[in-house]
Amino acid sequence: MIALIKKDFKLNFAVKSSLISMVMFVPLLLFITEINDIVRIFHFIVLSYGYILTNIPFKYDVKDKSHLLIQSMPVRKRDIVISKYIFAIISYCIALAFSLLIFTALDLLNIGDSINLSFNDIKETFLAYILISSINLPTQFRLPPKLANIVNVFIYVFITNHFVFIPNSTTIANFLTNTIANNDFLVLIVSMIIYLVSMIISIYLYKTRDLY
Amino acid sequence: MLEVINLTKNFGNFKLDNVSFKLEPGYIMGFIGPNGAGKSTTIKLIMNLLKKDSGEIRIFGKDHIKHEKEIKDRIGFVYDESFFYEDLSINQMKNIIAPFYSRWDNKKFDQYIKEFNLDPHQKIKKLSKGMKMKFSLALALSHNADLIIMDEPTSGLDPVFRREVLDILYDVIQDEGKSIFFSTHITTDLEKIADYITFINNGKIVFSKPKDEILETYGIVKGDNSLLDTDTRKEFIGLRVTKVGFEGLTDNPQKFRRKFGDSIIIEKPTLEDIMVYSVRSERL
Amino acid sequence: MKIIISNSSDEPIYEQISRQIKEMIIKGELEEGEILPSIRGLAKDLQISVITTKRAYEELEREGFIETVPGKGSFVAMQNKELMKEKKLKIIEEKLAEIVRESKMLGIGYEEIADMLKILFEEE
Repeated sequence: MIALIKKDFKLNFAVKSSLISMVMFVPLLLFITEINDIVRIFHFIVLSYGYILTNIPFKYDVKDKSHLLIQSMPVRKRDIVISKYIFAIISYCIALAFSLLIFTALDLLNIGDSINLSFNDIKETFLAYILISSINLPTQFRLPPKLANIVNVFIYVFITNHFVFIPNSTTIANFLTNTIANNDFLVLIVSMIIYLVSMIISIYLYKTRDLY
Repeated sequence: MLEVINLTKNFGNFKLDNVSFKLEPGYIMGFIGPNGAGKSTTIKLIMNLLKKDSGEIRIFGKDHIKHEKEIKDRIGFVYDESFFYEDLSINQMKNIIAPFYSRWDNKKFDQYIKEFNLDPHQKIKKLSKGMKMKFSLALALSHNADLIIMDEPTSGLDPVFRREVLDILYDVIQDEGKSIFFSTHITTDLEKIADYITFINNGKIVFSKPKDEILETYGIVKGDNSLLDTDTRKEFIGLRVTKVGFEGLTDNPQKFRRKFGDSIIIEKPTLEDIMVYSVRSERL
Repeated sequence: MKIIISNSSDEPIYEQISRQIKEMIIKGELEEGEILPSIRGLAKDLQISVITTKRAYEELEREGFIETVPGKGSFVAMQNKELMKEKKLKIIEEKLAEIVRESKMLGIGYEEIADMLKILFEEE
């Protein structure tokens, strides 16, 4: 299990090309879009980085067909799936830490508006991230890679839109923000259950799939 | 050590049909057949990369799915394609793979890398096909595997290197607890080293026998066309008739010798002869 | 120890091996109790399959020329002295028979051959 997680780690950070594309990606996106609210920017960065970190190893599987290599080693398919779910959470933590670092630095250097991040923001991004991953991961484990990519981009755009771009007046974002503010413990439990269910589904999907 | 029993997999327009064979510890089995015969499919089924429809596969005496992890710990695997992360270096790739195996031997790995003249810091995408294969081989031999499975490892490699690979395999087989299963369509490699040959064609096993027995049972008969009649033609597995004479493969050369005496020539067949004639006759 | 096999000969390879080892034992080039190469080592050196060398050794064992001790290897068996002498004489006899055939064909008589034989023995 640890070997699998380490592998995903190395794929993200040991290769110069993926590091560069990671670091460049979000500033580029920020450039293109127009978000004025710093909190929104924070949400966006955390979600995006978490998403990228989780998906880069999958991209490699497609490019180099390395999932065949992994499968010929002594690993259980179940362990592969579980490690990815664990790694997705680790990716979130890294993305979070990274974003906090950047924003603290910007704050200290007095660049831009000062940012007031509350614990709620972290909860919101966590929830959004869990939801994205719960749909993202099973598609990666089941669908042919090109299709999975298309589906995932849609999911990513859809959810980030609702959390980041569309102002508070939409019902979904409102509903979620309110729910989180009022019952965050409940929300946490429910989201973790969704995550676990997604994992069990992924295990089943991956086990019954033929790898060419 | 490796037992395949009535393995079947349906692909729509191709079917792997009741494939069975057995390999004991201490021997090398060559798995031959024309392209598309089902060699890679069989190997992928053995390694559980594809789901079988029916049949049994036992490795080290255990079911290959129920005990998948402990079995794969003892299998060294060499593919015909490279499935490594191209952007990583040899060492980086090795560091990802090594922790998966309980009996990884880093010294051995370094020895092989040195012997194969590979640069451990070289990125995998910069390696030639031969070098990638050497890397695969180094990995497969560095975790004390008891069964080595290779899927067309020498296709695309020059004869000099293919000989080197054979030498390495000979060294492996000095330990009679190890076995090697080796699919290829370059039969000359197997001519020397293989103990057993399994021949697959169109998804079915044609035969699975000791190599010596095959080469002794079959014979190439050459003679003048005047000797051919409907009865004699039946004795041939495959026959090639030209203006200047005929040449055919038979599994009963003694009968020809008795019937025609000195008016024909009987030669020892090569594995390639056997494969080519068998496949051609099927196509007719 | 010298074993050379020919891939193009009609004689099966395992027979070539057992024959050559037999000859060496009979001629005394391999002594009693001397250890033979392992089946696998021999297969590697000759670049042939293990089953072939195994078969050769099995035949030699069946005919009493060698003994295999599990875990240790194969050794030249203690040879029955009388049997050995008989085998050696048989080889000589076959060679002499060939000489006689040749001589008759070439029209050379017994006296000339006997003389030649005497000179050759004295050269020793």
